Amino acid sequence: MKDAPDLSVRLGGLALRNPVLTASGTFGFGEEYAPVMAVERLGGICTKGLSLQPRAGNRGPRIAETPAGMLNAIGLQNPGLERFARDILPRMRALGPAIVVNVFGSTVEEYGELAARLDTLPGIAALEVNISCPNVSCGGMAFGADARTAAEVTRRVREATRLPLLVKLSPNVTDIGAIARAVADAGADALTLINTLKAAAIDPLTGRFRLGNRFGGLSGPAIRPVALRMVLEARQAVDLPIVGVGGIVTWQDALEFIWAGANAVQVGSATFRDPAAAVGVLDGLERFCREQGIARLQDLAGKAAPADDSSGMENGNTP
Amino acid sequence: MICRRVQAEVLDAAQVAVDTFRLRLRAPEVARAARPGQFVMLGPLEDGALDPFLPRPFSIHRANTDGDLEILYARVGRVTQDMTRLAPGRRLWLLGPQGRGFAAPGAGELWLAAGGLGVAPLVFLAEHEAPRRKVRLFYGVRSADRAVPLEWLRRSGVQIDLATDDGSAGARGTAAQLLEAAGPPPAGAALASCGPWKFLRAVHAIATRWNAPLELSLETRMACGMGACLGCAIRLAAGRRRVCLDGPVFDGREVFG
Ligand SMILES: Cc1cc2nc3c(=O)[nH]c(=O)nc-3n(C[C@H](O)[C@H](O)[C@H](O)COP(=O)(O)OP(=O)(O)OC[C@H]3O[C@@H](n4cnc5c(N)ncnc54)[C@H](O)[C@@H]3O)c2cc1C
Ligand SMILES: Cc1cc2nc3c(=O)[nH]c(=O)nc-3n(C[C@H](O)[C@H](O)[C@H](O)COP(=O)(O)O)c2cc1C
Ligand code: FES
Repeated sequence: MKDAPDLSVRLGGLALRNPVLTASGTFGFGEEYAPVMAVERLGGICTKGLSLQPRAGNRGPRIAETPAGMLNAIGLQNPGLERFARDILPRMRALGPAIVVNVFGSTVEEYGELAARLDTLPGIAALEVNISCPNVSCGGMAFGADARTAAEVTRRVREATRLPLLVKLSPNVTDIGAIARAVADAGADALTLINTLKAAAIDPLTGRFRLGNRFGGLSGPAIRPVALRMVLEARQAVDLPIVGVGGIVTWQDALEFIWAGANAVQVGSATFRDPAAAVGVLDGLERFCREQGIARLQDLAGKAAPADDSSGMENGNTP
Repeated sequence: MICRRVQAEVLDAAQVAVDTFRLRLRAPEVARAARPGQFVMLGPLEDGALDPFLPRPFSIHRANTDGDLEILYARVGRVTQDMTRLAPGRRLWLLGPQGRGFAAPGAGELWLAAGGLGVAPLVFLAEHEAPRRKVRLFYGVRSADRAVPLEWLRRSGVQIDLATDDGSAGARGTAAQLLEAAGPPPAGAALASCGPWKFLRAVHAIATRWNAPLELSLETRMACGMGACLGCAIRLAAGRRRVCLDGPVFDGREVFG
């Protein structure tokens, strides 16, 4: 195939030249990693969760390594809207990738006000509404755990801004489909899933919790099969574009999400072990399409086929 | 700041004391840019392996313009256990040099207080400063067999006083007690320290009494080591700071007030 494969994707009102983004909270505000990887190649950057007022975050320790993953309880530490708008956003604009601002509030009104104020700033491609952080008592997951409040937040933000809206769902729920439908009906452009799974770890010798916050969010390869299941369930429930995230380290991991129905992916914790992980995912997706003669990556989205009973060896999906 | 991610080659791996090891790596871009007090993120040791998941921070123990870099580390857990099996020729990922190092202000005497493995970054600082000022190192370990041999550093003019908790070598006690007994230092002296939190607090109290500037190198758990995840943030007297990027070296007053 001579032409480069088409990796571009539309997530409602958000058009991306490629489907690989970095996940909120794992990539700062984009500039931190710029010295050691090709930031400009990313499809988009999701910022650290932003609130109207600055937040100090949780006490330490804030992270703990767990089998094939990690716990974090950062507590949504962030510089607040004012400093973001004045100091950070102008520098982010120079990086190149689409800027997706991840937002949260402790009341529905705060979500609305933050969205309205971000609407007036130049250079923002979309908002990602976080209703799923497991690490703060107010806000966060409290809104995402229930279809009615999830819809209420989405509706309020929808009314406050013309920016495309990704709504980031919590995996800490029993029926992800119901919440996906409620958020879709309330005006979301796309769904991001999943955020971290609420979890804990204790030092067996001392009996102490490993995190200052006791509980934290589990991320990394350990959660990938769970994230994939939730993408599949959301895909069944709604027609909206989906951004898959959770444990993606390689391009093969990303393809798994695409087959499951994701239209784009985010790379999170994997960046900590290899700053170039997201770029590696992008390169791999492009190479795969080229080698398999796939003109548009989007053509694969949601096309996962049943397991092949007769062979455990062959990939029956390859066109 | 020049920070890079490179494949370093193991040149030499040796045990230097009980549970204490030294790794010499060839990593020219990192070694040449390194300043005393900076650190590197090391790993993953196996490219494809997903467990252990995170890289690990280590102070730069020595670095030279030939492009060699040394890490001095204690065997305390999974990764440091695996590191003891690294042999010459092996390649491993290195991210650095990272963080804010020592300023070591002024041209007066430089007094360094090391608690245990805290000696790792202070040796780099001592070696770096010894050609232009008098440097003293107060070095405390639990017992004689845990003391890292530093004859070479002594020969380059650094005065080293050793203390052990059990009195098996040098004075009995901690490096903070040694430091206190040796002082106060001449006017214009600067202090730097690295070690456990309680030890740093003791050194800070001494420096405050002497009215001498003190720099402290801190440790917290890290994920990215790049200022991006906020996992290393710690509440200091001066406010919330990221140890990886705002530190790991801080002014004593910033830490304890
Ligand atoms: C800036 C910085 C510089 C450092 N420099 C050195 C150095 O020069 N030499 C050296 O030996 N170590 C240094 N450390 C500590 C080193 O990073 C840890 O010992 C290492 O990560 C342990 O990995 P592990 O897999 O062997 O242990 P794990 O299995 O992860 O943990 C074993 C034990 O060590 C504790 N631990 C883990 N990480 C840290 C940490 N960052 N600080 C304190 N305790 C920890 C755990 O809570 C646990 O009790 C430094 C840490 C930082 C933040
Ligand atoms: C240190 C850390 C901080 C995070 N902060 C946020 C945040 O501020 N907002 C948010 O929506 N998600 C946050 N997340 C969740 C990630 O964006 C992502 O959904 C999750 O980590 C799963 O992906 P992964 O397994 O690829 O890391 C954070 C994750 C980590 C590890
Ligand atoms: S370790 Fe990630 S911000 Fe410091």
